[in-house]
Amino acid sequence: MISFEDFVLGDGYPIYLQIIRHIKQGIAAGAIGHQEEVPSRRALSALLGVNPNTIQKAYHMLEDEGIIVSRSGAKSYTSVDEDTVQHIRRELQAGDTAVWVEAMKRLGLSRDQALGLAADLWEKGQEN
Amino acid sequence: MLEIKSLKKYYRTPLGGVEALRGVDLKIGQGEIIGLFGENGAGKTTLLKSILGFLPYEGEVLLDGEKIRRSNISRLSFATCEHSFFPNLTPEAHREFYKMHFGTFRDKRYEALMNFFELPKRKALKNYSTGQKNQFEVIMALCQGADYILMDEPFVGNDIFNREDFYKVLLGILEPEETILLSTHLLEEVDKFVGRAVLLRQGRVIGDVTMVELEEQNKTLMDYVKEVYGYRPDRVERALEELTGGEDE
Amino acid sequence: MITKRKKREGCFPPGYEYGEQERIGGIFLLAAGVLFSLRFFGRLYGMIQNLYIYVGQKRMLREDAEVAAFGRLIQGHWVPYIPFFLFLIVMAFYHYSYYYRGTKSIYLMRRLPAKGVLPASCVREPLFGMAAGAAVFGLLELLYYGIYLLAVPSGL
Repeated sequence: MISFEDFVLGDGYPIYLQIIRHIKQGIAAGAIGHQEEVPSRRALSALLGVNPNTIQKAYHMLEDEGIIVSRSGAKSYTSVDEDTVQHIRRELQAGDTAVWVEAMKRLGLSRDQALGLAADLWEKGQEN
Repeated sequence: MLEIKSLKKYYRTPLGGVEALRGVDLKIGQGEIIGLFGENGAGKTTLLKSILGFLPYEGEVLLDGEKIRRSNISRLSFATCEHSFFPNLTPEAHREFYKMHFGTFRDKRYEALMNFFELPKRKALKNYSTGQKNQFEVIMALCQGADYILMDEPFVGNDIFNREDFYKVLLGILEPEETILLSTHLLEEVDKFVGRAVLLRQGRVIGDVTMVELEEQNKTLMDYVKEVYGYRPDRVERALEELTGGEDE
Repeated sequence: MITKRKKREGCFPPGYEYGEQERIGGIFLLAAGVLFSLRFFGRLYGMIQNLYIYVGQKRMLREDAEVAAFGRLIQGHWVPYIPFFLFLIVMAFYHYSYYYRGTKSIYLMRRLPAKGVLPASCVREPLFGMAAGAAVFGLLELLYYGIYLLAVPSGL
């Protein structure tokens, strides 16, 4: 079953997107595999203290992307093959990088300055 | 479906009159969890009491197309900060009373909730703490077996941990056909819990929005309320400027 | 199993503490009965005395001795019961106000599907009290009528 143990609700970012992100991150990291059970709407709603409609919206969007498969009255399961995992990884990578690029632009850095900064910090990160 | 049509309530007072409700229109579907918000005197309590038939009013309240009367009133339950239980009786005595009068009492849920909140079943309610009284009041409203559970500021005096626990438990135990109409001023706390927010101001509905809509617009409930109330965030600044004549410190 | 206590409780609003009230009601009814009795005996004694005159040491029946009708002796018999009945009426209203005391259990009572539970809980005990009062009243009347008949000298 998909675990939400380490999931912390944040502010300023729609909850249904946070849930989707949590699941996608799990898939990208390999923690969530294929045919993994998805918590029921009600169970997740009670766990997080979040209205079931929000959970519903998150699940619907994941269903539209084909990441979750549900049958009425039965449990829902993930449907992830290698292609899906790669796709999600790239999606997350692109998304996070886009956020970083925006932040650097707002700080007034040029492309080279930003990349240079990233390279420096990458080295430091590797040392630790 | 609970339909409220052009609900008006006028109180006559020695100093003239008060229009507590000035034509409220609202449709509440079964299974919704709705937060009813508004400043003091907005008409929240009057609205709930009118729905339940405690007050005479103008307009219509229909439950699945029928007026509220003896034959269908057990489909509504009520929890209020004023408390509607009998202080001299114990919870067990209340359970008997409810079972006798409402054939739909949820016994298992009663047991589960009383145990979860560690409420003594054979202690007279007058000897409960305020927080415990609130919890019991809500438990009975939840265990009556009603489809529409109306709550009027039920958590006044409970600490935040109590309340958070309650929202979670509610989300876990509510059946799809159970509807909650919760009147509260704890906006920021319930914005995750409710699915729809109805704003009342001076007896009128000035806002009615689903939380999913707000999420899609990346707005919090507080943002929406401020918008609708025409709250200007800089009013404190402006006032201070006027007061201090623009001087610094 | 419906115990005696439960039967008693059933006459009042749920959780109502009726002990004090029963005591006071009992006192009112007792006082009514006592007052009524005193008055009756007083009048009876007076009437009987008036039937005789004393000739020397002997007590003789008066020639124009007239026995008052029982009705006259018990005139105004209902007056001592007024405080008792007023008390009962006040109690009916007091029962209603119970639903506003401490908590607003009125909101629960007004949501009950069964008909008449709320008004019944207010008037059941007062009506029971009125029945008890009427029974006491009737019993005393009968008893004293018997005494009256016995007290009146034969032949009159």
